[in-house]
Amino acid sequence: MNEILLIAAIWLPFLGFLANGLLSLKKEPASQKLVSIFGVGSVLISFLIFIFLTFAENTAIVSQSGFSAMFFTWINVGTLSADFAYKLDGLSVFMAWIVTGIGMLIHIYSTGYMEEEKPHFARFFAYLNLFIFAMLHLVLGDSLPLLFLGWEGVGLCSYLLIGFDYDKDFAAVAGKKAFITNRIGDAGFIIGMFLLFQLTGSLKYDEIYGFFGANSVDASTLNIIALCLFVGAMGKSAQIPLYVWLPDAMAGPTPVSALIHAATMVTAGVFMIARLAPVFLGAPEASTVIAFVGGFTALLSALIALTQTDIKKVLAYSTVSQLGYMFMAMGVGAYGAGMFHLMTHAFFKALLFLGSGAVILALHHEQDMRRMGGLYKHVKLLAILFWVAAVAISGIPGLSGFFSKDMILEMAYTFANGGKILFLLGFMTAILTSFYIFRLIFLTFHTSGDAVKKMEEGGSHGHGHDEHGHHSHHSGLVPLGWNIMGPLVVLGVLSVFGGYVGLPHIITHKTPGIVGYFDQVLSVAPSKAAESWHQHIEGSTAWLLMLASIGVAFLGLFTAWFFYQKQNKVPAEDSVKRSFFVHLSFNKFFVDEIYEKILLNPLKKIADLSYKIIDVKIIDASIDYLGKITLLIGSYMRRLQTGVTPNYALYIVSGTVVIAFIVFGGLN
Amino acid sequence: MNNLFQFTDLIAILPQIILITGALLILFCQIVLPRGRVDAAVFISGVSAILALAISLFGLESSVLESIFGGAASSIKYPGFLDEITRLTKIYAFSGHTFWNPFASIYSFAILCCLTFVILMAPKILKELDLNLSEAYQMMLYVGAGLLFFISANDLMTIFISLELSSLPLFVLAAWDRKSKSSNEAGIKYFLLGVFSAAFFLLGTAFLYGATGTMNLLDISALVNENSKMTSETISMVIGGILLIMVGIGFKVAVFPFHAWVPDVYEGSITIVTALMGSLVKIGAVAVFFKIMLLVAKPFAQYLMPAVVIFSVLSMFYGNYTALLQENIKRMFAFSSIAHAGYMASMFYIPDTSKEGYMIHPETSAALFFYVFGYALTTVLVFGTIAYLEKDKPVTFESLKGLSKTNPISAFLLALSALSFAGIPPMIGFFGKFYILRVLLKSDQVFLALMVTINSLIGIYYYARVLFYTYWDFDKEEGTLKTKAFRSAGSWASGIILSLAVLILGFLSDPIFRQALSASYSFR
Repeated sequence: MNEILLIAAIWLPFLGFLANGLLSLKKEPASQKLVSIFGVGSVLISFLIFIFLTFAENTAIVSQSGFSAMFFTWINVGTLSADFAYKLDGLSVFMAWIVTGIGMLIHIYSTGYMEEEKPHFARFFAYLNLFIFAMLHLVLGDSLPLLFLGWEGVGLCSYLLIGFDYDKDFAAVAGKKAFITNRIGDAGFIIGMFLLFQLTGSLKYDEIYGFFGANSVDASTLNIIALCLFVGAMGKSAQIPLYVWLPDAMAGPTPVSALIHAATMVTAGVFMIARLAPVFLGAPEASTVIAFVGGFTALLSALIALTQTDIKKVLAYSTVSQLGYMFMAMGVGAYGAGMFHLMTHAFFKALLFLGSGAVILALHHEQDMRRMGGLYKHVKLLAILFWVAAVAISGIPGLSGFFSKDMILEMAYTFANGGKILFLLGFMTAILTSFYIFRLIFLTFHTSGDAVKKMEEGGSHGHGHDEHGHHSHHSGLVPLGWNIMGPLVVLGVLSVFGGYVGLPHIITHKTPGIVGYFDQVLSVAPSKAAESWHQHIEGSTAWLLMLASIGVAFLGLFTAWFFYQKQNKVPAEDSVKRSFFVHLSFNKFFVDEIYEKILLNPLKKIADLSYKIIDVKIIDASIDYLGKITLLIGSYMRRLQTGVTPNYALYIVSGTVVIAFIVFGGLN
Repeated sequence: MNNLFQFTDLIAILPQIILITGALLILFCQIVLPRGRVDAAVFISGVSAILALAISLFGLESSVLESIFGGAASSIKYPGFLDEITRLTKIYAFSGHTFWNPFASIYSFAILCCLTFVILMAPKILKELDLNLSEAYQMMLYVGAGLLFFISANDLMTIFISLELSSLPLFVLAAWDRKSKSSNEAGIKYFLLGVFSAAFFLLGTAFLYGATGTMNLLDISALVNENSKMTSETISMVIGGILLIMVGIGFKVAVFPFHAWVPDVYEGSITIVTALMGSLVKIGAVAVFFKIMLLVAKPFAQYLMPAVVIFSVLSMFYGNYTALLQENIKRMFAFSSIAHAGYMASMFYIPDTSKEGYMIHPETSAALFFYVFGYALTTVLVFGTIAYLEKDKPVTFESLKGLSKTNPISAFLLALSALSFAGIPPMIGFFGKFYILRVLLKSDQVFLALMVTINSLIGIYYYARVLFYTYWDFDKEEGTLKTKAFRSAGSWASGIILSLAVLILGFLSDPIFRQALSASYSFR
């Protein structure tokens, strides 16, 4: 019975997709109420089922094998078999809660946010439901092929939703960019999958875990597999060098940014590492690489976020930066900390994105922070929620982000292979994070400017990057309904209290709850396996580290307040000349331009050459000649057909004679 | 042997009896019904063809045969199939002159299918050409009966006589359009060359008889497979005999260099007769060719293999290359039929390498049957369509322009058949080629497989021309052919059934393939 419920929970969003997909095909826009019921309802029921299952199958879930349900056989060739079978264990139930829970909140929010998109309302919810369906396969599948199916499925949905306004060039281009960049990562992922299959002979998690339990594998083999798989994670989870698609992905509607490009899909890489813990924990060198890639990504994107003026761009780079933290944690073997940060980040980043969506909506699709300010007076609740999220992300004690980030920084500090450098990277990122997020708050909600006035004056050049900016009447703020504010409040509460599942050990003198949980549910207990990777530090050092990170959080807050509130600075217009470092940061370190120069242009040249020379001159030409020669031979052959009967008889006789010669020649 | 024959012997040739009775009834009607004799002939021929077809369907069900003839069916576990394939103990009638086994029953079924469709299509066309004489139907029934005897014969003399029984009415039918020069020419050419090649066949029989002292195929088979009884002279005689028989039947199958009559006769005859020649005769000739190779030529594989390869490869290349430049549609399809004969001939002699004790891979017969069946159905469809398309003048590529506008149904059917001939999925022709290639590769005949592939490629050119001319938008010109597709109920019925068969039979290939596979055990 519970097996059926699990399958139902996974496939319900698919039914929602079908229903809304069909509705979107209608000529006149479908009833928004109906679409909302299908869209939100399917995810809501799915979420409720997961809650029920968590309690009903509690013992099975926290056991090693988990609770599993078989739906149908998918692939069965040779030794490879992959089924549509699902595995609800400690790790996947954790993800399923986040995906369906936050997914449901964002679905509710979208019913308000997308309200004026009348002709595309059903299509939007169809994609969103399909995304949930694919994401549930990613986290709940019991084998790597099913994970990969979900992996590609969420990639497809991401592409479709980034390019949701497909008639706008920048959206279509951003969608393509996301898709193509992810394909590069997928190539690595597939190779890693093949190598793993070659090693273990199976792609089912249980069998892979069994293999690693029974055999000890050479670290060098695992290093290669782990790096290949990490290339996949680089694409999906936006790490250096494949992170470039995520900031552009903000071309999609804001709920999409919150759901796919902040809370769920982009964390798939982190999840995958936890899922394949035996591989990564057996590959110390690869893990070090992962940690450093994460660290540098965190710092680089935080640097870029400092000077961005588009509210969603700041949050996008912030997401890349926070993902870097997570990979840093996974790389140093602190899986509990990484997953912990995944969860808290899902809360406060979803809140930030949805909040920024509310701001954008209220301001008639204005995204430029330079044209905001003083919103606090108009939308108090929203501003408070924003403050909550900002405090959480910046690492000010008491809120969720503090606990997870501090845990990561401490684990990085104790890491044996260059842990001090990692800590430094994370520490610097923390200062920057605090600064850019409060900069965003002050510019948007405080300062002496008044967004409403600015909007009314400068309505003519208010260019929305989010979606249609065709509102003729620019009178006052758009009111925000309950379906927009409700999810925000829930996320605000989660952002405040979400961190208490992982109180630091220096306070409680126990292993943090969430770390203990993941030690119990993963097939290899990370803190035991990675114990040798860490040096022991004194309690006083730990206290010192914590105080330092608290200090920098306040430092960032204070600096941002000083510049943007006290001195009332507004970032300069695009055309103004900037100092060198600000110029670099503002232009995103020219990474896109560098890629274009050293990768894209040579590739285009090669493609051009192979078209002009190999295709046209060699392949086409040879085919043409082949055709001409064939016709020429035909024109000779047809002369045999004289129409004279005695000739035909002669053919028969001579044919017989020749054949007889050949056959009897062979006989003698 | 107390009696000349037994009652069950008659059942073994029941389809033939029905066809011959129908033909005689038509003859009778000519006397008693001077006015309505043509309509009666149409009716009688249709009924007897369908009746024979129904009976041959029973022949496909081994339990029916078993209950009539006795003898237990045994089954064989064949790799690749989950369940077992039944095969029948041999049933021989008329003191071993004919047999009735899965081999005969599947080929009879195929022949009677095509015969039925042709008879359904013929009346309207013949009436319009003012050639609707009752004798035409009589001749068609004789052709069918002759071919049925041909494939179920187990005796060289019976084979020869039934070959003549099927050929003589065809000579008459080829020259059916008395007023047309080309039809007369086709008839006389077919007659002269047919008789000429029959002489080769007869000489071959004499050689075999001389070497073995018997006319019975199975006895000959038993003898030649027993090395101790063969001397070097008898071996040469047997090989010579097989070669001459190959020439005689190769003429019927139309493999190079015995093909030369095909383009002239196909083009000169009225098109509905071409449909008859292109389908029925091909099926019968291919079946008997294969039967003789299977039974008699087995021990001489190494000597005869070159001959088969030469016949097959040259036919493919000659047929395809010459078809490239034809402007007349009927002539193009005639040349392409030579190429198809080449594809089929590639199946005729394949030493089995799987070492299961079969000299010929068991799937060979199945692949061959599937190919020839699909080919024959498509041929009836395409020539039937052309028969209703042409008016006074022969159909050329030029006249096909814009056909998809003026006559979309005929255009579609032409395109469908051309695609099927070319081997494009999902048409039946694709599956035929697929099975042929599969068997060739399973038996390590890489060279032949390569030849078939290359030639399929060449063939696509002229088949695609059919599509190109019918569907290309020539400046929105109206087509020049103003005829309507299928102007009678019978031809509509057969047109629809045939096009459905061409479209979906490939997906239902399993039961057909299974039957054909069991047929390959018929003689063991």
